[in-house]
Amino acid sequence: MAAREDILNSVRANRAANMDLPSMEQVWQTFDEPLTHFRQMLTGIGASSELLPDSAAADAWLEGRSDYTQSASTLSLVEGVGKSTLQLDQLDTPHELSGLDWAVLPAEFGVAENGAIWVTDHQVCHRAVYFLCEHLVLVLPTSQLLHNMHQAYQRIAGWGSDDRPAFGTFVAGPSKTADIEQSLVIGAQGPRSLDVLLIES
Amino acid sequence: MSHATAAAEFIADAERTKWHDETIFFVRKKRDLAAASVPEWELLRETASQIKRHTLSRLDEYLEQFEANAIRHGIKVHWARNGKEHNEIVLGLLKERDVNLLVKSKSMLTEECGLNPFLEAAGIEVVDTDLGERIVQMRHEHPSHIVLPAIHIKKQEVGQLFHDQLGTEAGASDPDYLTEAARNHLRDKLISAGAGLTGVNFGIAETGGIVVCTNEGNADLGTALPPLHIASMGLEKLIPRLDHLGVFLRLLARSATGQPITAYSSHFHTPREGQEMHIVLVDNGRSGMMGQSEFNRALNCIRCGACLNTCPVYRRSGGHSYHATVAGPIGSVINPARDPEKFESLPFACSLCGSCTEVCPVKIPLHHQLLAMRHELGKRHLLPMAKTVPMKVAGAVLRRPWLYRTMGKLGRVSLRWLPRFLIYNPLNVWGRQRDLPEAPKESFRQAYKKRAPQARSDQEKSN
Amino acid sequence: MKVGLFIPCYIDQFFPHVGMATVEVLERYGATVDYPTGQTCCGQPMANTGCTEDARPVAKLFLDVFESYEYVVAPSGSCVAMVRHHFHDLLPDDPRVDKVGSRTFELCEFLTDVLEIDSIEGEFPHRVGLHNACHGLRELRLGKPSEQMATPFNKVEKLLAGLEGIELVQLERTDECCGFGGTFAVAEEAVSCRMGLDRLADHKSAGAEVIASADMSCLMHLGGLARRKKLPLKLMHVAEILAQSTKTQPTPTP
Repeated sequence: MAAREDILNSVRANRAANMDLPSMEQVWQTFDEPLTHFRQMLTGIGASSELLPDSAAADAWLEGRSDYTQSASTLSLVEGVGKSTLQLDQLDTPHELSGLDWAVLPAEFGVAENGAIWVTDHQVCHRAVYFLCEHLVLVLPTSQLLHNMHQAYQRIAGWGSDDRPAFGTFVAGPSKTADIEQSLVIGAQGPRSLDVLLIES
Repeated sequence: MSHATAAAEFIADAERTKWHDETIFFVRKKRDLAAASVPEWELLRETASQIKRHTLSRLDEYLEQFEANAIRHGIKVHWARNGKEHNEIVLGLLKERDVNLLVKSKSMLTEECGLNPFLEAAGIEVVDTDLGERIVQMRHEHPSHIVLPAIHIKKQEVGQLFHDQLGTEAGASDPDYLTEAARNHLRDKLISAGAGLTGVNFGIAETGGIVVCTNEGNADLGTALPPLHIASMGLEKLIPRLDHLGVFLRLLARSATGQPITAYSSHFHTPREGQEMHIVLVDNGRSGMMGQSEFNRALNCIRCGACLNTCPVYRRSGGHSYHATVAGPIGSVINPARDPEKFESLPFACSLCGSCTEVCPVKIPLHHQLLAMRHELGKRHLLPMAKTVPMKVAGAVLRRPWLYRTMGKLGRVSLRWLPRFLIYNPLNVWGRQRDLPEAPKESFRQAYKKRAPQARSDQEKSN
Repeated sequence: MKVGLFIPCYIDQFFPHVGMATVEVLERYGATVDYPTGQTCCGQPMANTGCTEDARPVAKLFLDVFESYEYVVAPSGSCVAMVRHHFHDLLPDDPRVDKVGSRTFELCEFLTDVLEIDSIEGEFPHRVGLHNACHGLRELRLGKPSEQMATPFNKVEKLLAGLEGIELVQLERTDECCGFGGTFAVAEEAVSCRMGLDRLADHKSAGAEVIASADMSCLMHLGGLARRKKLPLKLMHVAEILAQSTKTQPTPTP
């Protein structure tokens, strides 16, 4: 533990000039029509969205896609939306998900300012599924839409305490890269597509 | 090699320089658009700056809080005084678990520590899984940019590299095709790895968790699959509270690439079931820099790269001309702050235009720090004679008005009468590509003295 | 109103006509100009090279020469920024730094802020590209830099835009550095010249006949490059344009 003490002592001896924490209570950006803005942002970050009246319509939307119905391997953790060819909690290792074409998963809330969608491993025992599937579908009730990231962190306040999920991420679009000459390519190491099914509520 | 020499070599290829400049300036323009979409952009910057400065003012407390919370969640916390200790800790963790293949997501800290060669020497295969980092790794190079590691490489060169090493078609250079090839290659590595190492964008003292931001999903795959997750974290990555992330995540991607947010902003707080999670806290000169009041705000950096993208010097000299892990304006502060002798030319790789200071999302006064660093080098007598001698002479002349007048006259007269080949000699660096102004017969002060006294007295009367 | 005129060393030696134009503009708008001959330089070349000890006596001389003036005006944003923002670093204990600093103005901001001139009468029927010099823009805030998210304004542009017949061309990069940067121009000669050539190309493709700036040092660098390349561009200090735009007196305000 010598390193720990040395570092802490050095940090203590070199404290920067005092500065108070600023207030987080500010007038942050909001939108007249958050849903419209959210959907525009989704398009801008390479995702697609569908506004649907209920779960049955969401299921029908999936069934209407031949690339979904013809797929050999699909998983859904949203009741009544899509189908599963495998059981997530029956897998020995997350590696077995590597051939998964489609995953239909529940989202907790969306953020209008940037199109980000909060998901956790709360009911998803292998979080790898969010990243390993070829195509990701997130199902989000429209009532669960926030304006900005400050509201998002208010919503998950207390997160990281003992009784909360271990992992959470803001998903904003499919995986992407522009590492070759700044040319945007959708589908890097993670999913190639993100469809957001917005259920009116 | 000084920055100026390396930059001159880079610029010798005019076409490539133009391409490099324009490609990166395009990212700066995307940043401008993204920032303009947030009405409270300047308030966000100020808030972020204050949070970071506050954190540095009691970092010891936050470090202890962070450690205690992380341990409570089953994370193992290690402390490394320097790069060597960091590397040894990582190697120890891998050896104990017989890991042969380590997948890494982007981490400038491990670049700083020289982790890859250290592990490779110990027989461990290390694969950088960010596409840009993988490209530079395959070329045995270092990233030339902290966010866009392969920005200096053209797609044809990536095509050749992938043809040689991944078996893609000869001559293929389409980014979609090449990225697909890399995806397959990297997914194989991600699935077979025994451990995943990530950097850390933010550590949250209040929760003991860390946040990692990526676009490619590689950090998430690299930690969701293998049984060991190691996170390498510089001390300065801490923020006090979870809700502070609202500020930083709004700034980071918009400043970096003009995206509203990265594709994945992942919050890690506990190891997965059956997984171990370790955080290695690294000092490596950071605590010492905290005590340098003129430079410690450079530790507030969130590594967005905006200062590189806007820097007219960086864009025209390339990241490798800095010969440092972190290039550009921020690199020209932190590198000489740690090793002034080695990096003495970097504070001068700057025209003091101040654009970096304006784009910085945490308001580091970068160009003021670069200027202060020049003074610091002067104080420590680390400036080369080529800089100090002319300035001694200029200072001696300019503090004596009579001498200044005489020298000015002499200079102008000789410029008027000397033949061109004598003026534009090899020692006249100014004159290599530029003409000198035509020397006027008289200086302003001479002309002013000669003004018609009538005009002057009229003027005085009218007032 | 009595104004102490500061003419930067390189303008004194190489561009006396810019100094004379400054006098002409100031006098036309009612200032009494006094040019103290004991002046030399603001000390910036030494300070920016890190040679603090060589800069200090030069800065002190500046204060000695100008401390008694109600206003000090210079046709250079960079030198004014040095006096206003960087003399502190050189002379932290000299009480005159604040006093003189707050009274020292760049020519355009003196016209718009102190003399409160909204527009200049006169004509300049040319296509003009405005080069926003960095220190004037980002240190003195003569305008809103492109990086900042705020309401746009630009004091230099405002003065020029009021001239009859002038056409201010739209540049691709509105406020990128020209690469002069003082000793940077020599220490990083390759980058400096590349930056300057890129600026010239931007002005040229925007259709500028004249490149105007409130800082002569940038124009010395750009002009040197343009002359060597024999580019058909005229480089003019804003003071020259304002002085030349009309030889008549403005209508006196009642």
